[in-house]
Amino acid sequence: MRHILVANVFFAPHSYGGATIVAQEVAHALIRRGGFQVTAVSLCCRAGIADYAVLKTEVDGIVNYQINVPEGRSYGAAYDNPGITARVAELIHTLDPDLVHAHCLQDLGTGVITAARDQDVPVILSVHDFWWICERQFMIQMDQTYCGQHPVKITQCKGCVENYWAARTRFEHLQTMGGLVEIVTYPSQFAKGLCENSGFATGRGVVWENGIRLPDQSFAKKQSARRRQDRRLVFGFVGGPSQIKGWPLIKDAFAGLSETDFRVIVVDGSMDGSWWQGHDFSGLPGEWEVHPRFTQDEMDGFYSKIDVLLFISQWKETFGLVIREALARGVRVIQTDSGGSTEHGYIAQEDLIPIGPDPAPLRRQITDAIAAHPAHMAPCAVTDFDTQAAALEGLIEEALSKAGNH
Amino acid sequence: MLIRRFSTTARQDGFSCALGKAWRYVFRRLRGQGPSTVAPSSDHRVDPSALYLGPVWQELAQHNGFHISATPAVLQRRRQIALIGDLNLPQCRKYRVEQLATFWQALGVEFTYAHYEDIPRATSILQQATHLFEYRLKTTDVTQMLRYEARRLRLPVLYDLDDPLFSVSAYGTYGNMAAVDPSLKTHFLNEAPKYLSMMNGADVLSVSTPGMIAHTGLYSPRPTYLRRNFADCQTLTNGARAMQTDRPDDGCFRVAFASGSLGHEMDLAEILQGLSAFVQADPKRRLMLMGHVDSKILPNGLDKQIERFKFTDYGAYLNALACADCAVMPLSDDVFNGCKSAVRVLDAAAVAVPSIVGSIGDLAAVVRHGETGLVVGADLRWTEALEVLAQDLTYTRKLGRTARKDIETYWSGKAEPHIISPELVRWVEG
Repeated sequence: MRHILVANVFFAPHSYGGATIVAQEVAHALIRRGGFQVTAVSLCCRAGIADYAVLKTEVDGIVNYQINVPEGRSYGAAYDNPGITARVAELIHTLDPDLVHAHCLQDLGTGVITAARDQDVPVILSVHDFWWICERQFMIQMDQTYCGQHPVKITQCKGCVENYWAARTRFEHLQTMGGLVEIVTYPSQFAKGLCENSGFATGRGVVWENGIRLPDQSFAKKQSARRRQDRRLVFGFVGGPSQIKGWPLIKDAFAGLSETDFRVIVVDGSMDGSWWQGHDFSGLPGEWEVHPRFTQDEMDGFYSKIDVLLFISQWKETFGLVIREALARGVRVIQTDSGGSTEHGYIAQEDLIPIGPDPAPLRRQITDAIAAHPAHMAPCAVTDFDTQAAALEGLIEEALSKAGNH
Repeated sequence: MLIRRFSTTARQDGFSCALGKAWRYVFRRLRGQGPSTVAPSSDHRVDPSALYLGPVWQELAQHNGFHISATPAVLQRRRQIALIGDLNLPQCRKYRVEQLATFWQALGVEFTYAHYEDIPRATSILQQATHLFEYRLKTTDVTQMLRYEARRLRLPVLYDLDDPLFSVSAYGTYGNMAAVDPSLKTHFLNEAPKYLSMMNGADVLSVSTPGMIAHTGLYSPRPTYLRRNFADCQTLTNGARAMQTDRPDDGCFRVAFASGSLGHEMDLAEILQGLSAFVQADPKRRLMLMGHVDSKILPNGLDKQIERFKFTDYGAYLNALACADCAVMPLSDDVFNGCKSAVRVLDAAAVAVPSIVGSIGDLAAVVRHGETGLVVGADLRWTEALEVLAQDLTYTRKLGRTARKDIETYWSGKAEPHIISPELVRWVEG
């Protein structure tokens, strides 16, 4: 029985973000494969409980040790926090895992890596965004535009970072830490290329494609029932009203349409339902609706309601889970040329909308979709979590072998 | 860039929203705080009347994360004991808490402990534990909360005690209570049910003497195991160091009586008449009174042959004790004393001082009569025993040296049945 300690900034019962979903689902898939025990360590921020106290919790059979961090931590504590490192070191000592999977370390810090190494526990590090090479995590600048450096050179970050010398110290520290792990995984070739070209953990990287939850057997029935009930074309948008997710572009594109016989569902992914509060869609053509945040279990319910997913990200994303979730359910995707999110290979290069402020290409594709409707797409073959877990199992064996613990 | 961001936000979300964001950004920068993805819990207000863990439990329950499905010992290779206790009494802390750390670590078991009123630490050590040991706790809101957390974490719970604090019948007849304020006795009687309630909520019990096992059986149906106090490294090391100090070179024969808590005057009274006569029979004899002893009970004329030592730390206590030629440990015959352990015998043996003990409690179990000390009874009275030792110092020294050797070899912290019940070791390791 291999015991894996997965470190992820969030983990059930407090889940947030795509990378957390991946961490959780892969953990469950590993356990389903047999021969694995998985324990998690994550963070919480609660008043009334001592700083850096550990609380043990469990959801669906996976124990999660939450470390309670105080509010208002320093810049440096976001990537190297001695309070967290001490707790993680204790946990590693107690749990005695075979391997640490450092999955999403922002706010947990690189002490996870050093604590594991100090106790001769090999580490697989998974990179999910650009936290390791950008202090702003997504390479989105203060003015909400994509940075565009390729490779990233910290000297070029002056004017964007809060404090250049602090940013440089951070950058160099993370580069050093990246060199201490057995394997670094990236969700896409794009992410791997950008990070390695920027000097991060060169030669240690592999592409470990994210999985998704495939549709349940009842999905197709649910989808066709909805399509029979309301024959209008339905667009879906999973994201907030931010520039970086392409909302101004979407708004401009729809504003110029002459057609009106369609629906648009926007999803509020916030924890408190605040993203779309107070937004007025009355000036836009078609019927607009805000859909609440959905869980993995509720995903089919949402995708059965839409025909076309709009993914208009204005930065180079590392993967794009929602695109794969849509494609696997026969939901068409209109997307920008957004880094690793295009590597599924189901959209021709010429159909990828260039990142930029011009709404015309998007409007054209929306118009085409309305004109072609109904032109339903067959579900695409997409990697699922079981396949991703199988790949991880291979990486674990490789890491253990590299560390001499085979 | 900042201005561009401000104007974009103002255009898209309104001026007040942009102003709010700008203020939060400036505030964070001025305070030297970094950006973070971990937002404070939505229920960020703290209800002062709530238990420390109350809001956490509620939140975990609401997110389906309250229960732990498997006992940690089943999943973990390591064993880790968390001990939460009342650590206020130094002697209790030493014998029932601190010496356990080295004992269990020698068996490959991690051992951490916390005072029950240090709630953050007590809560924290539970989270990674496989077993909970509770020592000398009574039911209070805090101890019940900690027990509840242990049950949430599915920890097996052991309750440990070295005095019959749960026993009305022991306190009701405890002779030493006559020497303290009556309200104190009432207090102990009132507290007894709270200790028993705590004990009976545990899975197993451990106590310090066979007498205590027998008495506990009258109150609790829980399995009760023996874990005797023993001579730990600190005792042996401090004792060896104390033995290096020079004895007074005045030709006097010194008898030591030590009391670590109030009320032991009644024990001393058991032999005081004979002891006084023994001391006063020779001006070269001294009575060393160590710790809490009320002078009012002492007979007239004994003063100039008494040497007083204030209650002090363990090292200084052993240094003083090392100057004695023998130690006496009388106990009045009652249920409470019937549960007494032999810690004073261990202390004396640590500095190679032989003990004279009676048959009450567990003291005689540690003394090999005529080899490491003397056990008084029908055939040998206290004064006779004192005379034997006073008359033959070579013999007395030999008893002391053998007593020291005995605690180094037989009464040190080894996992042997006379120290700890094998069932208790299996309960942790199994």
